Amino acid sequence: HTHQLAQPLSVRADNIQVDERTGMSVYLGHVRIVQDGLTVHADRVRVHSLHGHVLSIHARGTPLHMEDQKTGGLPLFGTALTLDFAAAPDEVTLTGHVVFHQGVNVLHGHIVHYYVRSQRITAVRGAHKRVRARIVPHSRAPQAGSGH
Amino acid sequence: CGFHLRSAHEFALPASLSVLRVRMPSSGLKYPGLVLVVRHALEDRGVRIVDHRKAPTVVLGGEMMNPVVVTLNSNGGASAYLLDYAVTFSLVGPGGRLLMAPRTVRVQREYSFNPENVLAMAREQSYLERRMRLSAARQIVWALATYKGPPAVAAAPHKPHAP
Amino acid sequence: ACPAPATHPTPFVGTRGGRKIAHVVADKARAFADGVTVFSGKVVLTYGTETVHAQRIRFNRRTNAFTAIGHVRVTNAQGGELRAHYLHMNRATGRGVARAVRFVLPGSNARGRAVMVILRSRHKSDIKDTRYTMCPEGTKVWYIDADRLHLNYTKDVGIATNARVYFHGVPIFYWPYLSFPISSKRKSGFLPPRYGTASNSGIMLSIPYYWNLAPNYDLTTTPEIMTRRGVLFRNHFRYLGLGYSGSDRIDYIPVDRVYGGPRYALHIAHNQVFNPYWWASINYNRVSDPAFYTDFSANFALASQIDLPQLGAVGYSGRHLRLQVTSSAYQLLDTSIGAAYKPYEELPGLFLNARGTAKPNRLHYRLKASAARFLGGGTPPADRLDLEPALSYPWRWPAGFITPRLAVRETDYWIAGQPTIHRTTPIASLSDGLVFERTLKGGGRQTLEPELSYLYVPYRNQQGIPFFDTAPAPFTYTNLFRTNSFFGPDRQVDANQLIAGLTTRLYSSTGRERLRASVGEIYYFHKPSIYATYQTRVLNRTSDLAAEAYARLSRHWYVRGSLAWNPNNDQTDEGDAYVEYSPKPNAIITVGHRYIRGVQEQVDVSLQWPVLTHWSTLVETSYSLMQSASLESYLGIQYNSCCWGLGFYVGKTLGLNNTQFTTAMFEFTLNGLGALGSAPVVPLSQHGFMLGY
Repeated sequence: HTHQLAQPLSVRADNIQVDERTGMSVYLGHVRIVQDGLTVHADRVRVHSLHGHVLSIHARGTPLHMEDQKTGGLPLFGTALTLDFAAAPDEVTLTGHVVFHQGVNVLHGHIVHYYVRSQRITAVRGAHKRVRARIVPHSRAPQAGSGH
Repeated sequence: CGFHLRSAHEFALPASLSVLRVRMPSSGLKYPGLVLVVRHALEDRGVRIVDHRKAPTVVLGGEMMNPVVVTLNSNGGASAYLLDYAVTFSLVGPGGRLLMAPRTVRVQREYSFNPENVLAMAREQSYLERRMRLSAARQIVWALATYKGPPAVAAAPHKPHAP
Repeated sequence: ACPAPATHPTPFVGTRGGRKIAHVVADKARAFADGVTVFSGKVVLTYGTETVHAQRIRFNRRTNAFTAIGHVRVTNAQGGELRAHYLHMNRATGRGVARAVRFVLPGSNARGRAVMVILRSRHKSDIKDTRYTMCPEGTKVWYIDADRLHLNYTKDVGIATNARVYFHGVPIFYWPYLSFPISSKRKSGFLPPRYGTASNSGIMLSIPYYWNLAPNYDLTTTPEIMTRRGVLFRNHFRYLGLGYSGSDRIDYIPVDRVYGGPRYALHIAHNQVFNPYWWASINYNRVSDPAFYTDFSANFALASQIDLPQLGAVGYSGRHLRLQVTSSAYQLLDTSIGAAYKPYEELPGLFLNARGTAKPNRLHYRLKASAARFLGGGTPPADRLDLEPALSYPWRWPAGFITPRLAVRETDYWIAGQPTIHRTTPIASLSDGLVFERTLKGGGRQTLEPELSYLYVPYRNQQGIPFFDTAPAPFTYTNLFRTNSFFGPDRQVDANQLIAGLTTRLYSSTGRERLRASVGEIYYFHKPSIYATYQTRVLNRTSDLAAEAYARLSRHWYVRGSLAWNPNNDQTDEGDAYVEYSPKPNAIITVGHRYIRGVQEQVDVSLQWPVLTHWSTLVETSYSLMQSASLESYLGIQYNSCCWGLGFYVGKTLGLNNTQFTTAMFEFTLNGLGALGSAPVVPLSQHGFMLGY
């Protein structure tokens, strides 16, 4: 089954339980969500849709994996315990031991918002674990002002 | 009052120091004056002096001979000097292990001199320097006599040297 | 004690991290597509050995630069630290800017505040509008305001421009340009200037400059400006090489207004070892006029020199053979000794000393030989050959020794090439001694060593021989057992005498010699007919009693003394005593007394004692009882806190040829910045001596 969310969104799983009345459908087992360049692999996904429009998606994994190939640069990989497509068009929120990799750079956080279209990431610390980042400067010494 | 003729035991150095080497790396010369005097003082106590590395070494260094003016004559010229002599020594095992921590020996002699013959004054000063080195050597030998450490020679069986 | 400065001189803001991976920890992070990430909330950025703490850090991965804002604190592993409100750093180029900065410079204890710091490169930084001090934490007794402070870590130099020095808030000094070392490494630059007054030179200001020319040689030039005389240029050149070293001093004053003309002093010292056996040494001194040192030296030892040595020597030091070729001449400074007297010069002198085995209980042979040519002294050139072959058999056993010795001394003279005097004297001696020992409680040992020696030397008429390099040996215990009571071959005393001596030594359990005392006397079977003219005392059947003692009584007390006492008339002919008490390293009191019947009696007292916490007093005086005049006395007061120091010294010294001069020295030191004033070579350091026990 594939559901559209502003962009074409397809969700595949071993089995699906749909509750027409509440508009809630639950996908279980090797769930894969694809939307544009974004791909999510999770154990369990709950999709809430109304009149054929998807309002929110909640994915859960131990951990779940997220991948974005269309970043205009290096692909972005993320892992977390839960993932939510909020109603806003392109904001993805990951929570729980979130780790983002882009090339050799790494970002750890408790809650991470990923704004797909603007490629912005916001990470916030958890109760016990602070945000940690590993930044490797570009190998080529950048010419003054010549940005990547 | 407890005095007795010195016994062979009190006279000899510890058995582990029966063979010694004496060196003064800081001087650059193989036999500076002090090295010879210390060698003779040790030979006097029955120690065999050798030149190879396998024996423990008495390392001498930091020799300082400092004449200090102590009195002036009526005309304000120096009439007596104090010769202040100091040298440090340590005992190092064949492997380079420190067996006896560095120690400073100090000897002083005052000498007044006749200002009318300055060449003679130089002879007197060098005579006193030789006597002070003898006294320093005796003090070094006495300190070595109190060495109680383990046998300084390396554990390897020490093959007797050809005479 | 004062806190020691951090030792490693590295930039307080390290920028070597160009390539290194940056690790960041924060409460929040916002990463943007263009490679910029903004961290906020107690951010800690670390790379290599540097750590940056701040409230907020904006890190640009592409330009490899970051900007830190709010309570910025940068530290590196070498103790450097910088605190600022704002810091922008380009890690690739090492350039950066910091604002509202507080810094600590490792290596020099300098700490301060600045409006802005520009980090030029990995090793250079400029601090704008700064106020800094070298006082340790907490005290700000003095500080420096400077428009600009340039730090160059490769050259280890800090340069301040328009520097104003404040002391307790009062501006006391202004430097348009001030350089100071920012590390302990040797560096060219000004050494602490000296300021003082001396009665014979007026007000003096000397500003030494140190040239670190190379790792193994350097030069210190010190122009000494004197109001009454002019400018004396003192130059001290030192060098060190493989097997050789030297130290040369050239002091030159173009015009000495009091003396009326140029004056100079020369000192050349060179020692060299060619290989393990051959060595050479030079010790050459010369002054333009005898009064040079008395006029220009507050240094007690220099001012009292009677003769300046001009010596050269080449030698071979083997195990059995010692050879030495020397040339000895002296420049006479003491004009009171008599116009006729002019010291002989020995040009050249050849000395040879050969000996066989030194092992005990074996026949020993020994040859002492010397050949010399003497010039001057109002006589034509004289040559002398002196040979002394000797045979002895030191028979030793643990409790004593017996040493018979037979020598023949052959001495020949040629005056102006013609053989004149010839002297051959046998010298026979038999010396023996015993050693008694006892163990003391606490593990120490004491020895009692009686010694007896018989000496026989037949009389030879030696009237015609001039005293080239020979003089009578003073009457001390050490000289009792000599086979000739003269130093030098021009007189060989006849002797038929018995010398008795007794020595006791005290050793601690660790083998340190705590005490040595000796007493001895000579019994003349036949009175010697050659003895020193000055020995006016009629020689009786027995000589004076000679005694000497050296004792380190405890860790704080040290006593030294010697005595020549005439038992017949119960009079002391010669004696000296010296006592030293030093409870703490910088507290010492010494008292010395010297007496030579009819010639000299002198008392020396010196005291250096800490008073209160930072003050210490310095008193030193030598008083001649015979002339009831003070030969030399000094008084000094010193204040020294970790931050600054003040010293005041006044002294009166008797120089050569009865010149009296008084000096007053004033020294004001801002620690780390150099002394404004001069502390003379305190004679105390020559009289009192800290024993290295």
